[in-house]
Amino acid sequence: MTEKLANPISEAVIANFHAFEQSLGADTVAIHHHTRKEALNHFLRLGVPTTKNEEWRYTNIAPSLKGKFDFAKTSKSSNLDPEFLTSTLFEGIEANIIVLVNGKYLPYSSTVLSPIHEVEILALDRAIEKRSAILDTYYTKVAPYNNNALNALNTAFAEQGAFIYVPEGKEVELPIFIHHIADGTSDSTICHPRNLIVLGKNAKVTIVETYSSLGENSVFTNALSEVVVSEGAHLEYVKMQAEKGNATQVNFTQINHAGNSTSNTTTITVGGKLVRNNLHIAVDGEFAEANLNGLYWLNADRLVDNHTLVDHIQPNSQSNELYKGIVSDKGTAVFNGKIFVKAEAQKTNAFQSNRNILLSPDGTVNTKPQLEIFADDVRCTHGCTTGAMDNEPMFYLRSRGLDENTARAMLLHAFAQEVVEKINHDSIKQFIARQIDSLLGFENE
Amino acid sequence: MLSIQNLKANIGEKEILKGINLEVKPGEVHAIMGPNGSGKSTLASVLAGRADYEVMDGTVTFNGKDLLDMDPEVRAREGIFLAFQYPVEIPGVSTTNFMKTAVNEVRKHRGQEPLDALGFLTLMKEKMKLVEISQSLLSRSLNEGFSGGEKKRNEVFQMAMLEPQLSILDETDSGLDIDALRIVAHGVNTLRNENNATIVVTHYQRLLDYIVPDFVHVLYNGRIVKSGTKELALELEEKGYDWIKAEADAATV
Ligand SMILES: Nc1ncnc2c1ncn2[C@@H]1O[C@H](COP(=O)(O)OP(=O)(O)OP(=O)(O)O)[C@@H](O)[C@H]1O
Ligand SMILES: [Mg+2]
Repeated sequence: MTEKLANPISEAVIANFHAFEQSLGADTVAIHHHTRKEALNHFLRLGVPTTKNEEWRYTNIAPSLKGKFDFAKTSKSSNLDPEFLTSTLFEGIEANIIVLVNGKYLPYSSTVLSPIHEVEILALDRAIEKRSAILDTYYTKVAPYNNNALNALNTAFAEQGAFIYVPEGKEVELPIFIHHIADGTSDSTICHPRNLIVLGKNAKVTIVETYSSLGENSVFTNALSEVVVSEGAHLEYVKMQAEKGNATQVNFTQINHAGNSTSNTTTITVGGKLVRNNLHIAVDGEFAEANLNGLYWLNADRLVDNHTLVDHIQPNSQSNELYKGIVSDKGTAVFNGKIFVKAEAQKTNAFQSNRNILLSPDGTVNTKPQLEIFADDVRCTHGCTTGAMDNEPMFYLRSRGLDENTARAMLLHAFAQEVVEKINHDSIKQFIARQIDSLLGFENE
Repeated sequence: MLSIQNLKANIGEKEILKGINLEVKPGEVHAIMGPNGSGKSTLASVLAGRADYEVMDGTVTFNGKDLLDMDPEVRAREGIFLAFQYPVEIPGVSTTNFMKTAVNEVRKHRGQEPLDALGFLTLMKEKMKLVEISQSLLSRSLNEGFSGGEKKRNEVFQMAMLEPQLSILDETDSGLDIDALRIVAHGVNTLRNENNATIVVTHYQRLLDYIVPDFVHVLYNGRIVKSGTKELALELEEKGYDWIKAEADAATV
């Protein structure tokens, strides 16, 4: 039954693909037509994953994809008030800003402040023209599309996104914000934003992606980011997902590490009807370190699914993973954490922890660590906990005069803050903490 | 001020308090002693409003109001303070974090203006000096990695901040070195006046040398089986509990 669902989607995709390609400029088509075509075929072969697929067991995206979207109509121009954008999203942090509305680059809302010798920030289609050598090296090579239907779909339809290139030895002083806005004001929309982020040797940058949505019609975002962290480089990467109940999102991020490099990725999900995050990290260099932090807050009947994969390929590397969730109402949280340690990857240190607070008996948490270790001299630990709020701290705070709600908010704040604290950028950390605190009803005096 | 009559409380099916009677008047200090497991902490918890215990019978009034009917936070605002025998660790929440809210909730309940940041700081400074506690300890996650003595001193600091009418100190002396004991006792004695009262739960006469009780009660097997003046504590120190147990067991048979 469920497998049949894939067919109408495939039909819509095929029907729209040609029209979509026509809508792109002739040059772009010429360069990437072959890749797109191939990706389309992979998508048709793989089909939209159903809940029969072990990796998608708890997360059914087919209903959100079915029949609602015109795959050709990605170039919808959206009339967003730039004032709105500035006031709601940026809140006074000095930063480079890229705005993508329905996957479409919005030049008049975007600003690049950092000097060109520090970093090159372009819309992806401009980069295809200007930076073809880098594109040829990395585009679709970091995140292959032959084994993942949604990556294939993104590759077939990807139009724009952010291209960020930090040359060797450069430290980008100002953070880079990529704001994704899914606009369902006038119509349902599906979009396929796509980023390529390349850090040269010893480069250093902070990147923040925010996801929000507008309107009442359904929006579906199928985002893909390819990230290269070269020898000795450091990436500070934050994703803040705060879409509305009209939004479905599938997000795939592949980060490839070379030796001595570090990354600190923090994924915060506080909105969206259904959000599936895939964060795959290849630790393919000695003395590299990957930190994966996640925080999700669920209410109503929303679902957030974090699938992470850390692949230790070379010896002496390290990964630290901490995902925490607060689940209320009929929310569903899914966590799947894979850690692979290849035979050569001796002396790997890998830590993983997933902790959930269930605030309601109707909430659900499905958590599963998955360790596959082929080296013998490694240190790997993992732990999952799911439980109601602890009575003891609640009673303690109440016995000091705090009412139940205030005490609960304070404890939830403390729980969430452990993840927020991992962000190595003060004003971004504060900006995010404020948003989370307001959801938790915590007033910081 | 506090009047406990025939208080019976269970945890699960198990009866722990089997009919407690106790009257505490303003200005008094009551010591409660008794063997391990006799129900001292249970009594303290029931007074503070811990939900794990089910009150089966009896009444507790505090300044004429039905205490058992109040939520724990209301009891705190009405002026009850429990210094816990085993203070809980709360990662991510520091004493400073919650004390400002706590102090202002209590003030609000008493019809006082809330303290602003400066007023709060001034109060903190004063009370920190009283119990000789450092700012760094108050900024750390509550009780996480605190030494036994630091935990207890922090409890007394909070008591000093909230200026309760009835303080219940549950073995606040255990784990304290001689100097800390003196400091804590000094703090408690400084806060004493004719309007407030203190219940000290302790195993040792040592504390009672510093905080001199008006009454000493022995709790055994869920009941107060003997009450007396401070001399009773000295007698217990000397003779242990066996004679009291024997008396009490004989009486219940
Ligand atoms: N959660 C619980 N479940 C079962 N029994 C409990 C629970 N809490 C307390 N008790 C029991 O109640 C009895 C009284 O405990 P309580 O802590 O009040 O003793 P206490 O007089 O304070 O002892 P101590 O001097 O060791 O602190 C003990 O037998 C204890 O095991
Ligand atoms: Mg006790």
